Amino acid sequence: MASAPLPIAPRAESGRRFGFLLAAGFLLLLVILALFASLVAPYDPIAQNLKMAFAAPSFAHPLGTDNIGRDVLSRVIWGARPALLGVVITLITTSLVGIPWGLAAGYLGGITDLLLMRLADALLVFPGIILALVLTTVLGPSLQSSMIALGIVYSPVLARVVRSGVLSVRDREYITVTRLYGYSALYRMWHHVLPNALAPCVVQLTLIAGMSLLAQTGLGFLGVGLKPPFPSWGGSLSESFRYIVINPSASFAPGLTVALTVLALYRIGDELRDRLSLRH
Amino acid sequence: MTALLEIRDLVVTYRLGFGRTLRAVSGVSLQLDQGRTLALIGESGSGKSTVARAVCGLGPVESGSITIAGTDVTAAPDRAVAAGKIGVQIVFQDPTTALDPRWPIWRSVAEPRGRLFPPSPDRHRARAVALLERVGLDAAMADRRASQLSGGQRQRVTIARALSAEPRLIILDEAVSALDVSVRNEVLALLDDLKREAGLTYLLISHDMGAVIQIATDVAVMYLGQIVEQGPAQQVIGAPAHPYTQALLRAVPSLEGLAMPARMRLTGEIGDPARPPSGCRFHPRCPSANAHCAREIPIARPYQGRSVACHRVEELA
Repeated sequence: MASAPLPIAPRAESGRRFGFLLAAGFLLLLVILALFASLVAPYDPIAQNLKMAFAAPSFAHPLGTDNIGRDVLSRVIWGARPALLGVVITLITTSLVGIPWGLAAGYLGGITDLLLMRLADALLVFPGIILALVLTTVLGPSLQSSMIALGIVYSPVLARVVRSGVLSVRDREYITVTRLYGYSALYRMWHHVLPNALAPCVVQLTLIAGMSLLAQTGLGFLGVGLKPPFPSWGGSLSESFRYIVINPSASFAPGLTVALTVLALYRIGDELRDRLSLRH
Repeated sequence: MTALLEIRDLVVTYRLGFGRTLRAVSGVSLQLDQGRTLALIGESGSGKSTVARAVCGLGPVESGSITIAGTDVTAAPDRAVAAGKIGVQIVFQDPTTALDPRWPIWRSVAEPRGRLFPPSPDRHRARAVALLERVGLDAAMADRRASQLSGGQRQRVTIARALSAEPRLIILDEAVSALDVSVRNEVLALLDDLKREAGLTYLLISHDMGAVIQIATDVAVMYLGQIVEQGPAQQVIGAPAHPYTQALLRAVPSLEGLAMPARMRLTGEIGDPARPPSGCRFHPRCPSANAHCAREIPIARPYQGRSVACHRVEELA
């Protein structure tokens, strides 16, 4: 009786493992494609060829061509560059803003905590993409500024996670006892509180990476971010979706790539969460 | 010879919120000489841990003085830093939360030296490994994390960490209470060795009479924030005078002591320190209390080589 669930568990386990390897492999492939886009992409991503417009997938154009005859595969490959760069900029901005924010709130407590967390609530009330649009117009329209704007928009989410991590370790004895060794609050924060509160924060960052890619695609679709001739996944989608019936591959290729990338990021977040909670 | 640790009229009050307060320690005076082991015993809620935290500066102090090696630490801007500098260290009950789970144990052991005895981090490692060996751990364990050790091994690590600060006074806050009996005895024997070797003084906080009997030279018994009896361990443990001390010691399970007279049995809960009883705080639970005990607060006075706070100590003898 007790051994009944056993035959299922290892298979589920190996399935999960396979999913993680697939996700990690996909992201790795994407990074390689982005880094070596100029070598890997079969065509110039902005070269138009109106005679070849709306071509169906073929040997010469594996994913077909778009409405002005550009190679869809090449555009998807080149589009990985701004996509990944954007995610990295967002994550760096979020970390730089959100981690000190959460640390200060959790460790200092009291009125500081109250004010910082109400500010976080206030920011979280706004729909992220609207706030990002406003911030982008303030910072000046460019890929970098819209990604920095997204980073700021997501930072209260990270700040909350960091704060709760800090609260859970702040009063542990290995931290309070260092006062007897003459160490300052800053030492405790940097050497004990932050590293021990960071694990849930890493998981949250993978979620933010996924959200930021979706938001970035949305902004690209609306025409904020990278200027038109240059390939971005969101931009490609907005140019092709009108012809989705006669030329589906030009819309599906960037769309599916975004979806798969976001799923892969979330899957890696799941794995990190499992592994980090196993330890301790 | 002046005492290494002298506590005078220590009062600690916790704020409970909504204007309510709890006086956990009300007027405790203690003296601990160099090289002795003073056991502070009592039930949970008696205030013994609060005294320990106050001494090392990790807990609050409302009034009174705590003098360590001639310096009144209650006057210092940061009492914990001051106590650490003078040579006070503490070993906690639960070594799991007392060690950073991310650090190799040698690094935890070396940590106190960073500020107390600065330069050269690589010599810190060598010292830390030597200390780990001194407390009975293998040098090969130095790079392990606390989670890879047993409870007894972890407690040895925290003892090594306290030693690396080169302390004079170590507060053992229920330091062996969480260990199982065989490990507990080994750790107590180690503590006794270390004390002789390094000329240490211990303040042992415990509800575990076995540990007290094994290493204490002096005993102070606390009840609801006050000391009811204190003196050399031989007198206090050997021939307890205060009815509470008697009850506490009779409550220690032993093969012979199974049939204890009903008069000695401790019933009920320790009172609420937020609303202490009138007169002698122990009177509601005392088998020998009379009307006088409920009215008058007993003053500690010398009795047979110790000090006792009980109105009827002579009559009951």
